Amino acid sequence: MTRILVADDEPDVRESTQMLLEVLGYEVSSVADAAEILTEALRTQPDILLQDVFMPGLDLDRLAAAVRAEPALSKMRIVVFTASVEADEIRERIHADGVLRKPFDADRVRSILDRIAGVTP
Amino acid sequence: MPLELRLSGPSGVGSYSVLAIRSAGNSDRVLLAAFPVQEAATDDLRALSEQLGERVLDLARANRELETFSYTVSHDLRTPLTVLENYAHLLLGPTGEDPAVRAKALAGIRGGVRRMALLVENILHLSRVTRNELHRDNVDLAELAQAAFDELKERDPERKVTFSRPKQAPASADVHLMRIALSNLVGNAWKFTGSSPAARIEFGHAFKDGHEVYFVRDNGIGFDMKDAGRLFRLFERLEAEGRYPGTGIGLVTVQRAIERHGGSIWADGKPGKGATFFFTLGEPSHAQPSHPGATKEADA
Repeated sequence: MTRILVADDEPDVRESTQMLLEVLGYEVSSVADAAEILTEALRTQPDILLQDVFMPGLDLDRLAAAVRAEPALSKMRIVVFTASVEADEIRERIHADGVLRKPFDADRVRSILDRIAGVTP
Repeated sequence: MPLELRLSGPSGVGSYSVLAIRSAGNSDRVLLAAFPVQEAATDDLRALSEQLGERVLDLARANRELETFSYTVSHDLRTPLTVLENYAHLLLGPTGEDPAVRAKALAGIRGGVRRMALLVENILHLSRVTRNELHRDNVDLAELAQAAFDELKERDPERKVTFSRPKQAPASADVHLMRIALSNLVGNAWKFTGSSPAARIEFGHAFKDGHEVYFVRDNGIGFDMKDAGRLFRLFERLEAEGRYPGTGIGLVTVQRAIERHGGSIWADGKPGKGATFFFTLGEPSHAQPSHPGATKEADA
């Protein structure tokens, strides 16, 4: 089962996304505090980190670099999860593996995430 | 700032007053116009060209502001839209039958709708205080502060908040603008005293340094003075969304309303010790023009 870690400080976005992804059959954990993302990722070993880009205290570039430098997370994909119009620029800047734009189409999210996770249907 | 340049060419040698502007995101100056300067009229022309230069800079700033504005608004509307989409999908699927999921989803949808409505309302208020003509009248600010408080109390009667104000606080001001300003200030005080056990909000005024200074004080969570400069910046929020919902538009709206009157606004606070917002309202003769394209954005 594909594991996803949702990192988002907005409670409603985080909770509704987690519920939705669980219903779609993913194993989902979530984190609200930017300082806990790395620890949580190391603990849960997700296939995908669904990462909001504007969280209080978050240095996105530093987080991406820390993930890349961590051998235990070498298989984890980073997906930029944002409502920003600059989603693609941000993805390129941090060399993320994909983008999930807010709001996302719940009917299409599975094909997007499975493609990024390298899951063949 | 306009520059003066000496040019030589087929049209002759002489002084030219040059209007140049640095475009956003591009450090090169773009030359807009060069006026030949006749010695006798130099001062007039220089003054005129300086004025023109300032207008152009104002316009460039307004454009940049507008860009940031549409950018942030689209972001801030898409966030609650995500919540609506997610929960709507959950309600339509097989989990929609589960009463716990249904309750959570409906509450979430309602929260998202409220957030979007608040954002739209705040944008309309900001636009109103920026664009509408200023009509000064005799206004009782104590009455307006009381009305703002009463409305909050009506919406949330469970909360125990002590409100104090003088009998009267007369001012020569625009009643619509001041209603918006005070409902924002009292609303902030209400919001940020949400976790205070004995919440207090005070509206008052005092004569100081030749001006009538009005204030709204609370004993809420306060703020660190090192963050004071961010208070009046558009879309800036000192608090995370979770506990104290807001749009980052309210205090900018208040500042514009005050500045339209030719007054100024500042704040004093301490973490955990509450906040006080002070403002003055300029003299009627010092009122700002009706269309303040040049309203200064405080960076302080």
